Amino acid sequence: MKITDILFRNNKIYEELGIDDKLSSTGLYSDAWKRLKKNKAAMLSLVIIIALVFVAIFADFISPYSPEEQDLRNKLQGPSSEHLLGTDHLGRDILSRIIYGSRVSLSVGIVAESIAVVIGIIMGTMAGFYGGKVDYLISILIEVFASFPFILFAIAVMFVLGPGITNVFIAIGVIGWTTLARTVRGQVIQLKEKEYIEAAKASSSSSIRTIIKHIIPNCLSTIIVIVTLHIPGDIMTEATLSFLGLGVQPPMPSWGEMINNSRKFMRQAPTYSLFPGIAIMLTVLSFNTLGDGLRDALDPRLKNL
Amino acid sequence: MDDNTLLKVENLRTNFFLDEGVLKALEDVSFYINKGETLGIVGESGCGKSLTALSIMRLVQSPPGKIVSGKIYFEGVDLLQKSKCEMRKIRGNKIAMVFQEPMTSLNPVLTVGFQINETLRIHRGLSKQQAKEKTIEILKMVEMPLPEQRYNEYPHQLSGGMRQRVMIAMALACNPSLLICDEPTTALDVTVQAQILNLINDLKKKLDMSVMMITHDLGVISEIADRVIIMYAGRIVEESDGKDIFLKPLHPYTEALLKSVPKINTKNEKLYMIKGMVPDLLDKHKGCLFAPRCEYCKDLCLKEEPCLLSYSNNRKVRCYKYSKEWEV
Amino acid sequence: MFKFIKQRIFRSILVLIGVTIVTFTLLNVIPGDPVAIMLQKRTDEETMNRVRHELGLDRPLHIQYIDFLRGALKGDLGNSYFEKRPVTEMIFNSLKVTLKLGVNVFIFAVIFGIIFGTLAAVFRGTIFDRILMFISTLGVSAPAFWVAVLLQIFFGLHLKMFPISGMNSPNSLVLPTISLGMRFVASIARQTRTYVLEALSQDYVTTARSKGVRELFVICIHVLKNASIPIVTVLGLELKNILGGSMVVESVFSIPGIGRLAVDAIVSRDIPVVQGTVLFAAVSFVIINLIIDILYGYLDPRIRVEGA
Repeated sequence: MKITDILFRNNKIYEELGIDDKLSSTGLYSDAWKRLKKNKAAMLSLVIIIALVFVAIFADFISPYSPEEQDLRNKLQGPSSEHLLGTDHLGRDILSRIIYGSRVSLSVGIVAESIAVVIGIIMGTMAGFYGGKVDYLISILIEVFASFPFILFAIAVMFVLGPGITNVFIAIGVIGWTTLARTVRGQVIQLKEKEYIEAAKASSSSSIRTIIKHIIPNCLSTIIVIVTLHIPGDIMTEATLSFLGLGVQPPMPSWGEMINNSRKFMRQAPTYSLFPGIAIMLTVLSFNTLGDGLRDALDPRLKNL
Repeated sequence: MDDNTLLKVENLRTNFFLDEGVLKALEDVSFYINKGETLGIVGESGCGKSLTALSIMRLVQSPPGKIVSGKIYFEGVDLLQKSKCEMRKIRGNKIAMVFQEPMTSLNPVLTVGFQINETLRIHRGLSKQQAKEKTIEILKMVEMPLPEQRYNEYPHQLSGGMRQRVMIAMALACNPSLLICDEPTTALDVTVQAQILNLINDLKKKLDMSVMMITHDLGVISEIADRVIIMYAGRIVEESDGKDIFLKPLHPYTEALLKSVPKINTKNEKLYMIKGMVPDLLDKHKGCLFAPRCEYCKDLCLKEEPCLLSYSNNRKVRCYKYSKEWEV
Repeated sequence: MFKFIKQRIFRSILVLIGVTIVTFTLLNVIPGDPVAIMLQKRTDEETMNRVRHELGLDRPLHIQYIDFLRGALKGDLGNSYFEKRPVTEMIFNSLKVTLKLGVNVFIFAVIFGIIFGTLAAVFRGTIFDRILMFISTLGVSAPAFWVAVLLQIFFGLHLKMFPISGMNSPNSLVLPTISLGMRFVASIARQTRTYVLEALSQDYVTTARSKGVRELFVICIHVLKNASIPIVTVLGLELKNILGGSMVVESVFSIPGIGRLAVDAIVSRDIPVVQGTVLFAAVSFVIINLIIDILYGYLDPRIRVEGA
């Protein structure tokens, strides 16, 4: 390591001189994994997320009660030995509902984001690759969709499609692709310039194929980071929709809906609203921290995302 | 230390405390600059020349860097003992610095005039109007065309040479005793380089300053340096007069540097390359740091690092070749 | 600079057209027969046809769109199906309330966010920085509506310090501002920290220090002036998010703003109101974006003044 490396560590000169980390000899993802492992907060988040997925899949075995089992004599109880987190207004166990609620949140995160990813990649690649008028038009389209406030638009879409979890997937997926499209477009444009020069020197045939073969791997790290950082937003949006009564419908438990229900019973059961919110916060926090960690591990230069 | 010495650095040691270990960036750096003199500091990038300048100005980023030991006497007083507040009064006032990259070293969102008169307002307490007048005077002094217009312009509106003149104007505004120039011409076109060097030389005489000229370009040294020190891997390996260094280089590294300069009048010569690479300062070393690349390397070179030996009246060299043990 | 502004305005106009098309399509084309939705098939075919004719919904779609567009340009967004008042009037009345909340939140979030972010950057690596950033991450992760409910319970019911609904008392906006503002303080602080750190690592900071400039001025003049350029963009984005987030908070605190107007309209299936609010929100965003872009161009002298 030379003195210049340290002096210029934070400056652009560092990047211009192409001074590489000692690590980048083995490959992008194994290096990234090594770097990620050093980040304790990110690793903890990863553990939490894996635990959550586990909880969601094995909810039937883990949950102490059925989420729909009502016990009207014991409604609105605080935490007790029988009901670790208390009961709701219909006597249902809150902990069980939170456990089953994780299914909703996680599936929204995965499915809705997948829809957004597909749309985003297609739009971004077309815009970046073809350039010119196509790019201009698609960029305007991106801006149009980005101009609607996320929640309001999601609510409007739910209004149009009707309530229910499938429609939640669609609503969130259909609005959330704009950031991804923008970033993919930027990457494609950069790559196109690099590859074009090389391809021009080599052969001219199947340049489209080569470019596509190169685009996906190179964009992949950016896409991973964006997706991980978007999932918490999607989960929050679903929670908000359910809170407003416009998302997932009862009796399917959703954390947002639980908080909404708790409002009418604020005086009797103040702890009712506490735990579903903590669940949301923990999940969102974990994805955010993991996303930050992934970004730092895969490419610290992406810090403006 | 006599009255004629402006700056005297003694055993300066600067380390960087990193996750990977302690990097001993500057080790046992000692030299002096007399009044009215130009000292050249030569070396490849990463050898510690800029760091020496930053250490003198106490601008080393801490953490992770730290001046661990040594003394820096400026006008008789040890700078390392001064408080932060006192140091601030010296910077830009008694000691000023010109940096290498004028595009990134100038603040893009502040006007040229503002950046130059900043020191006048801080150190001389001038009012806005007085500062403006003085600034335009200084811009004329650095041969900036249309100084009144430039006053309100932004750095991106100027050419590279003009930006460097702004940097020089900024540094000279308060008439410092010592001007440190860190590779001031490296980022410029060749024709402009000569202009800037001449400008610095003229101003040095006019304003009665000393100059510390840091560069990797031996041509620059030959033009304006009265004395030279050569640095390698954070150490001073040779200290000499400005002319003697070319006539009779002592240290093998200096020899190699001179050989590396391509000469126009010799035909069919492959470019000379010093074999090997600059050592990684994180690793623990035994012996002379240049030894792995040195033509003359002997066993004793690998055992222990040589000290800076006095060769003659005003020449020093860090090499066993000039020690008693060599012929054994 | 002017060329830049002209291009941006032209682009914004195109985006606005796109926005109107999307809004119209979403709310008029996709749901199918709006009369059927509205009346929920409780009446017979004849009444439905009459209502359809009255509301002009039996005309071809593109004519409806052009009418809609013309009306919108004139400021007429139709009438509410249920309240028989012009939508535009309803929007303006509730806008006043939302603006009050929004401005409060914006000022609260900007002041605290920028201060915390700058402090975290200047004291980077210290415990102070780590605590600030941890709290920020928490702030961004906590849903605004949940914070609102918790604040209602704690400060409103328990401590009885602030009102939990309505706009009746001068303190009415305190809890809503904090609920909504917390996540934006956090978000602005995090991004400010990033930009200030970036500016701090630039060469011109070393130059400023080498001139003997006091650290306070280095930060306030040299660094912040540079960091403010990307921060302004962030603020614009967050302003949009604040308007979006106010929807839910308004519902929680029963504040008669635009957000609540939209939510109520959706529940009661009042299409013109929904359409009006969606359009209004989107148009506001486009205009805010335009202003932010122009402001950005003005603040950065490299764009404002032509280079060499």
